[in-house]
Amino acid sequence: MIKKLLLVEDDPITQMLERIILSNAGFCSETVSLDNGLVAIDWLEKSINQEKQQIDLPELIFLDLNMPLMDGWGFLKLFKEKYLQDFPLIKVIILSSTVNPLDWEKSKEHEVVIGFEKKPLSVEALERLKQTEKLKHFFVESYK
Amino acid sequence: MEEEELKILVVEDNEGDALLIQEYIKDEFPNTKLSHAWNLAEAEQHLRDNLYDLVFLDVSLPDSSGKDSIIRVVDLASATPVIVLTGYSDLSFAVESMQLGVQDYLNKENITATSLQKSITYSIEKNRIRLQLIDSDKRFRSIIENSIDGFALISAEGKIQELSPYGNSIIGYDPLENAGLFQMDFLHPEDRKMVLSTFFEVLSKPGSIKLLEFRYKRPDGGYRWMESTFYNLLENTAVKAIVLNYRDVTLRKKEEEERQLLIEQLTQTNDYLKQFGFIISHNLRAPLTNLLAISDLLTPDQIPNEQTATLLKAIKISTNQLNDTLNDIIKVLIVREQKQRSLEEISLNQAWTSFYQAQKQQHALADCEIITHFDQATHIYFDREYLESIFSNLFSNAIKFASPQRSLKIHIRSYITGPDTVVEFSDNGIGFNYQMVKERIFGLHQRFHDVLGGKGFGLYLIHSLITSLGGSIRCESEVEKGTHFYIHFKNSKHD
Repeated sequence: MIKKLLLVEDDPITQMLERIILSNAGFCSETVSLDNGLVAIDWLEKSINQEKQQIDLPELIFLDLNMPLMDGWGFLKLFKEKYLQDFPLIKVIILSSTVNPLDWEKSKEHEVVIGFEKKPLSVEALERLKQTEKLKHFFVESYK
Repeated sequence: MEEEELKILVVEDNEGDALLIQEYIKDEFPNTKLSHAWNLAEAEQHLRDNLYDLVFLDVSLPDSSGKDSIIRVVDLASATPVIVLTGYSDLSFAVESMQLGVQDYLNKENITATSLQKSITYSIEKNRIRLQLIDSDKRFRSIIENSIDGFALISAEGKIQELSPYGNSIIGYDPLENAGLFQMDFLHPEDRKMVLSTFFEVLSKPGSIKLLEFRYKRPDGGYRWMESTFYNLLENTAVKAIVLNYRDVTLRKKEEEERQLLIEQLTQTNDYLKQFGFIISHNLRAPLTNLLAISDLLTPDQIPNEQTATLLKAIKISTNQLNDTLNDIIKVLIVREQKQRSLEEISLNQAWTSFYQAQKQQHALADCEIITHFDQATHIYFDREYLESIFSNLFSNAIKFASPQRSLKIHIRSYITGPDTVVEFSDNGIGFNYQMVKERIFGLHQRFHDVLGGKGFGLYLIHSLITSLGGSIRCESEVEKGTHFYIHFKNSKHD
């Protein structure tokens, strides 16, 4: 199971629903909901400064694209500049209801992005993610 | 020559010389009508009253001599050739006379019958050619002068040597008044460099032609658009200039500019509408995905109140319908957006089977019989995703509009006609009155049934998908008999 997952999502209902679905799927033990890209960057900044050893940093970020203040693209840009080098284990999956096919192409330009999921998030989609090359090592233990 | 009657005037004050010349002429040209003038005054009188074929002029007359005589007589004789007679040989004077328009120059001392005959024949012939040249030059000039195009000859140094009268009126003044110097100030500042470089480009290549458009200021200060050609004829000995042809195309330019502006505005509006479509769809999607997730999490079976349970199920169904409609709209938007999709060879049998299997897994399909015949045309060149959308829409339509009177039968077959591969999709459903509907069936938001579930989008989407890849679709239907769709795919990938 993933230990810590960041859920960057501005819509409170979506946040609530995704939390329920994540827990139903047994996907992660802790979920931190953050309202937009800027809040997420602030959170990362604080966590890194407080805990010199990176104990409690997230392994995965679910990132919405369309958000106020700082959208998903803005977050990816800042993340690449500030954290990519020091924290190469943190990965991002884009979780969006975008209908623009160009968004999917654009997300491939970011190496930190390992997946692109269309909303609504479902237990089936999470089960599928558990099998993927990049994530399956998190779930090996639970099968033992 | 001998057959024709010649009229010759001899202007000679010396009686002996006059007689001698007249004798010679009569010997050689017996058919000649001779007139004689003793002095210039008499000659002038003769020339005013008669038309001659030739004039012999002695340059030293009692009332005039030398160049003055020549100028007077040549002027009066106009189209008639003049041969000058002198009593002495003077080459420079001979050359000078020729320049004044005289045809020949004879020394009376050396005249023989033969030399005279030769001179008369040559002079008349030479004059005839001269008149022809003048005439042809006049015609040419008149064409140029009456041409609606402006026309200018420019020297290699850039000086305007000649300009057609209409050329003046196009630009509104006479550049020759300015010593033929080209006025750079009159060219629009943005066009100066281009006009100059074009001129030098043409100048560097004999025989080359360049077309260009530039703005030229008229005396009233307004700029006019000129369409022009520079033609390098410097090496053409008859022209020896760069020929500039130009015409005023301001009106056409204005129309072009207006059209361009309109296109820009339309493109902008179109882009805006497309963006608007995406934004609307996206904004609708956000709450819709929540509804989808909620209805997925809801378990109506656990609700004891029957009515509430039924209503919850209805919410689930409506949410899914809303989702389908929105997905169709998005597909249309994306199809319109993406112009280029690559075609691949698709096995119809394989595509249909995999589609149908997926349908069977996802929905409990009602009783229906499906017959497929893909053996006459096994493959099409198309987009796999699009084909699936087409199958999906046709299939769900067939189910939606199945007749309650009989069990649904779907027949799909493929065959080749001419350059097309046709896939025919038929059902025995409730059908519709095709005569009333015709091709509107493929329009946006056209609904022809009261049956629940018609969104009026499916056929529009299919039509968009097919036509975007160069195919076509046609429909036939009869009430209570069924509906046939004929989809034409291009046979070859290229085209």
